Amino acid sequence: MRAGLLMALLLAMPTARAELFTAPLRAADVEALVSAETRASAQGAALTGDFVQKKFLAELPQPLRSSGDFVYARDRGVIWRVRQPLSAEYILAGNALITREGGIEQRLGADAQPGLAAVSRLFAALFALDLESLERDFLLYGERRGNHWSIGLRPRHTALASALIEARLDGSRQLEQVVIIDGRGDRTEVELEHLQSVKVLPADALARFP
Amino acid sequence: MRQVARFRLWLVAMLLLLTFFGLHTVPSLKVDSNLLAMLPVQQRDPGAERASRRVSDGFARRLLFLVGAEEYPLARTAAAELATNLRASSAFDSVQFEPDAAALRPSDAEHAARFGLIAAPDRARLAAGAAEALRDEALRALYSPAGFARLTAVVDDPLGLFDHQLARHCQHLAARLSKAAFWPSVMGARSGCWYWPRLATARSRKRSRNLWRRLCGRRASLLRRAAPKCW
Repeated sequence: MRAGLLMALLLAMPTARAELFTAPLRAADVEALVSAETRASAQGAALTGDFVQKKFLAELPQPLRSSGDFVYARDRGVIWRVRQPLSAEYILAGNALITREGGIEQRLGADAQPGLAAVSRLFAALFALDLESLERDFLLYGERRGNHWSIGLRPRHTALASALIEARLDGSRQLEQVVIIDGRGDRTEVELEHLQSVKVLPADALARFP
Repeated sequence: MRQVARFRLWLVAMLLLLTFFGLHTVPSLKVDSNLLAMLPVQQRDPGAERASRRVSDGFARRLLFLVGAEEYPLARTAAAELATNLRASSAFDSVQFEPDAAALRPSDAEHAARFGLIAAPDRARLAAGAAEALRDEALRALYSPAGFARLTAVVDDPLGLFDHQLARHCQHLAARLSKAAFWPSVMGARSGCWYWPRLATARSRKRSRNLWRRLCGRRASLLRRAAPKCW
């Protein structure tokens, strides 16, 4: 029985993926598919939550698994704090990536890695669910099955496709999973949990931004 | 009086010499960028020279156009118009409006040489020998949420040495091109201007040189006609 269910799920997965990326939609149509709770929480000043990230790299037999928490602050950026298997904080703010670990801070600007500007914009637009902004760079896809909604993104231009082939956002009441296929075909899965929309960003979180 | 006559004679001789130089020598002058040509004749390697000629010929035939506009869609539209006009001119073997993803990545030659192509700050960092700090940095890169922004795979170059080197190279290029940020993978915008790179391959090296001269000479009017929305 279990094996049958698993087989049915496995068979259904590629179909569901293919169906999502069938025909691009307008930003307003995609937004209408998303639950009201998700839309409301995306409107807040900040969004906090926990994450479990798995990176499947072609060169490694096992995925790289990490977990921690994050803070997204509108107009400020994203703090991505990894707690396991190492303790490090990544701050995507403006066009820079700041990494902090054990009192050491390292800043990587868009001048050293210009792709960061695009990543920074993408992260901000994903958390704020700013579909109109995403629509400028991506073709948008969407579908809804019961309470479950999915949004697909594919770059409009080859230049961006060399860094990111596609991204998929899944959720029901809240955003639950983000899957990114990068330009090399490597997959990153991020499970999001305990999402909370915050009206005012706590002072300690605010102080962590540059 | 005799001195004046001698001076005039000398002046005429000089003018004749200059005229001869201008008519005979100047047209055949050319800049030779082949470093192998500086080797003594007995140390020259015909195989290496052939390979060098082939590589430089390949590069010499390629013309890169950067089309700029204040808005990204406008830069793209203008670049599309320019591509159409370049194709219609039949002067080029190929015109890549939107190069495929593989073409935007570092070439095999660049990739093979990546460990020798290290930017000066990285070279100094490696020479300092802080192995533990470098190991921690490599580990952080593996778990970074922005890993997919990198040009090279994180497992291949966890310290991003090749990315940094390429970025510096592009900055030098950008500095000459009205300070616009240019990146082969993801186009950047600075000073509110987007740039869209365009790669065209001429039929021959000579033709490429001639085209380039014509473009430089009539750049404004040619580009105005090719991409009117951009101007």
